[in-house]
Amino acid sequence: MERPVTYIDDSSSIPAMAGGARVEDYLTLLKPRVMSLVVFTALVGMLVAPGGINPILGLIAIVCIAIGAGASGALNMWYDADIDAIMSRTRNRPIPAGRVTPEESLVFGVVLAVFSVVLLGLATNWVAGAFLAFTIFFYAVIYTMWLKRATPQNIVIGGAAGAFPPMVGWAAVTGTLSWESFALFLIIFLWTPPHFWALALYKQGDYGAAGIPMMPNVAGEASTNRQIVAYSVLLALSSLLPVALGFSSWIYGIVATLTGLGFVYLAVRLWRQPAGTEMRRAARALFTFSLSYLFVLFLGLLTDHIALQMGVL
Amino acid sequence: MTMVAQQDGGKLQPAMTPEQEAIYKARRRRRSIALAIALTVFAVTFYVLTIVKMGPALFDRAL
Repeated sequence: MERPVTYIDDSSSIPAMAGGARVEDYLTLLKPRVMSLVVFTALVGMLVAPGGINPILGLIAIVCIAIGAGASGALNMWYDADIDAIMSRTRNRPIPAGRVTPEESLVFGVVLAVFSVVLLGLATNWVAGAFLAFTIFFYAVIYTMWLKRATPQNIVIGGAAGAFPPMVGWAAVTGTLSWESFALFLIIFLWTPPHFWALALYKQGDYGAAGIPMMPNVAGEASTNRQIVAYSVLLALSSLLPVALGFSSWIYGIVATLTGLGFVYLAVRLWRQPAGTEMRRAARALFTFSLSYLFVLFLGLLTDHIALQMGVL
Repeated sequence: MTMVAQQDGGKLQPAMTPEQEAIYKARRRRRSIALAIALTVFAVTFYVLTIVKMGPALFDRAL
């Protein structure tokens, strides 16, 4: 039986079909940029945790956490392929672009999830393994399948998934969860809403077209800006918790204070802008700053810890 | 561009030109190599993990 099939002509590519994916497409499914932040925060959680871990086991644990994060990304792309095809930022992802089939992404994600959880449990302890499994479940099911399309609080609650990795890293070393690890969780948890809402403010059209109830589309720009300021203040305060809880010193305290003030300043500047091009520019500035903010903050925590360990402080 | 489809393993697949088939095979080969590397790393990881977890006890046994 023969019948005509139409597809986009591209002489450098092959028709969208099972088995036509490049290795790079599978790597894209893992969301490498998100993974890099997860790896870094988990590594810091692991290094600042009391006690120690065999370096080889620590390396295996970090790889497991990275693969677990990648599995979450693949499952997210599998479920969100329909809305990814609508948004300019995501329409070139492997599934909507037709380079990987949804089934391939689903199997890839599930296999990696099981592999990462089992290996982390065997390498370190089952508290860490179970917590990694819960993190993958939270991101893929609670956030992606449920909250993302249901409520403008999607990124607030769902942000917990991105905040768990330092706790997983901490648990890999100690076998327990503590208030110190919760402080690291809280910082990333409170960072997530202003980070994503700043992005949503200048990508509103995209999210609106895809039917995702992001805060700017549902509550309006003014309300979103007020909430961004509130979360930024809470973030700046919570970033001082490691000092208050006594597991970091003045080096981190200075970094947290300066970066926190910068975050709040950009949030307030965004809030004071009238709607329009200037506001979108301010939103972009906050989004860009928020990307480096978390990296600098956790780098400060790590530097502080190393200085304490070496007896410099 | 309209192309003629063909039956392939019970599924309707778009027919490929010789150039596209060459790209398809090259990608399949690269995926196979990547999978082989991943499986090797997995096996080595388990081996190293076993050695590290067992530690000196690995060699502490009656001969």
